[in-house]
Amino acid sequence: MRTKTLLTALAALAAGILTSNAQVYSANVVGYASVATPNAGVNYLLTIPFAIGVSNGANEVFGNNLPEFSSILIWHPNTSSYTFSKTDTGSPTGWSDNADSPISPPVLPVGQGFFLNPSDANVTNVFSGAIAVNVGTSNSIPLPNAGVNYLVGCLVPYAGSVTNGNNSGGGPNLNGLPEFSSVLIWNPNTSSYTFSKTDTGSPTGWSDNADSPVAPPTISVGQGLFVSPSDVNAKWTTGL
Amino acid sequence: MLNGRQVCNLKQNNNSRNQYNIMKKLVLTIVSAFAVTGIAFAQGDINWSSISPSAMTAQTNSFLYSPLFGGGTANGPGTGAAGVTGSATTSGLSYYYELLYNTSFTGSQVAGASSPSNSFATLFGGTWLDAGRGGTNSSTAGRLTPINSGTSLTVPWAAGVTNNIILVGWSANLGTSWGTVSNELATGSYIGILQGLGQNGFFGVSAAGFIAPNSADPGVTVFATAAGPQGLPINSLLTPLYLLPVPEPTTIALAGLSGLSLLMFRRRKV
Repeated sequence: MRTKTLLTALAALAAGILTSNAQVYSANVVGYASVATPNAGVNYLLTIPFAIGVSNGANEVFGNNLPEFSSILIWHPNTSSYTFSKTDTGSPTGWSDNADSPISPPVLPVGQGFFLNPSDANVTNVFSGAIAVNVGTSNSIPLPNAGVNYLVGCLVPYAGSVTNGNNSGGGPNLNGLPEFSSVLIWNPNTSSYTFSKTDTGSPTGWSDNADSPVAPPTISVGQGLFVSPSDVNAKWTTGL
Repeated sequence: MLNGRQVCNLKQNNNSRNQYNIMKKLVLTIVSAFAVTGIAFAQGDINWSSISPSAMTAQTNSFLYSPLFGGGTANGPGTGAAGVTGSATTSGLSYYYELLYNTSFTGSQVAGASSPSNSFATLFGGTWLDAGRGGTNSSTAGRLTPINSGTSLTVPWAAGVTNNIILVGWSANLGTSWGTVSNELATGSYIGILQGLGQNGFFGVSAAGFIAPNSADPGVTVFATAAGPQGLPINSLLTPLYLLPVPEPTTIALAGLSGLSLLMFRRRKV
């Protein structure tokens, strides 16, 4: 997936932090990300890395940008199933289910992944809002159950290897996962996943499903991924 | 000459050889069965959570007969333009749909199965097979909703293999399953059913597409407005569900009388 990210406010804020004499400093950071979904009828695994509007409802996140009858799949880890919804101007809410009954717009909170299937080609999605982690702090996504697939996204719009960074910032920081936790990265062009797992026996710290060493997974801004922890009460902590 | 012991040994050898042959056949049969089973159960996944109204809607046509049945208009040939249509929920009937596939993909989109270039036999003669995924009309006119929906449901061909696909649709007064309805259409028994009900029947076929299913959740998209990495999904807005030709009872009576007359004249000649 080709993504392009612009975080315009970060630089200005960083200058402010440098003059704060190392105090714990909390401030809202705003920015935007531009995520392309070029093909109609293809599932793209996305996440919204910004707090947008009142509730991060799909109507607030996308506005009127999505073509009519574009669909969204929301994952439910406890039932391993999706909820379907589609844009529908014939519905009073602007959204309907697969039986054309009106439903509320799906909510896309920061840290949650979802599939978007645009009904038309060459859609560019611009997500604009506040970053959900204040400067000098960190937030965590709970991954409470072992062996359960969680569809998640980075809380801060970081890109790159999931091993970059730490609890204070610097990158996605999936370093704290229990041994043999797995990650699935979706490829929309092949409609398939790439599997990798944390493995201290691998020189890279990661291996594939045949136990061969592989590079740690990488993500782009706005890209969702599945994480399945191998132990209970895991969490994905991201700082800024 | 063989003595009794030699005969007994020979019989034992023959028995052993027979048992060996039987075992050999059994093993071969089992191996073959597994091979066939492997082929038969090669299954890929499709996303059957929704039938997108951006790419697939249907409408009835109470004026035109299906090209599969020779076409023509309900009021006789040359009696006006085509197009007496209605959305597939406004004619008082429910509708069913079924996804069909064939394995003759040659790299491009095939003509629709209702095209005059395709014959009745290509649809019902085994060329198009039931993919096991169906739908019905939704609460909104013209739109469809899947039956037994799911984001990753299997189809009877392997992931990564591209096959042609079409969606057939029919009025529910013909039956609920494609197996039943295809048999009625192929044998003409639908005529008696519709005459008994005193209703019109409708049948239509979507434009064709081609897809290679995956082996992941969500599965590959079946309905979309444009080609994608997994092929060409079905894009068939306002798919016509044509009127099925049903002869008037008087016509049937006349045909019956004609047949009887022919038989009588034949007997007299003999």
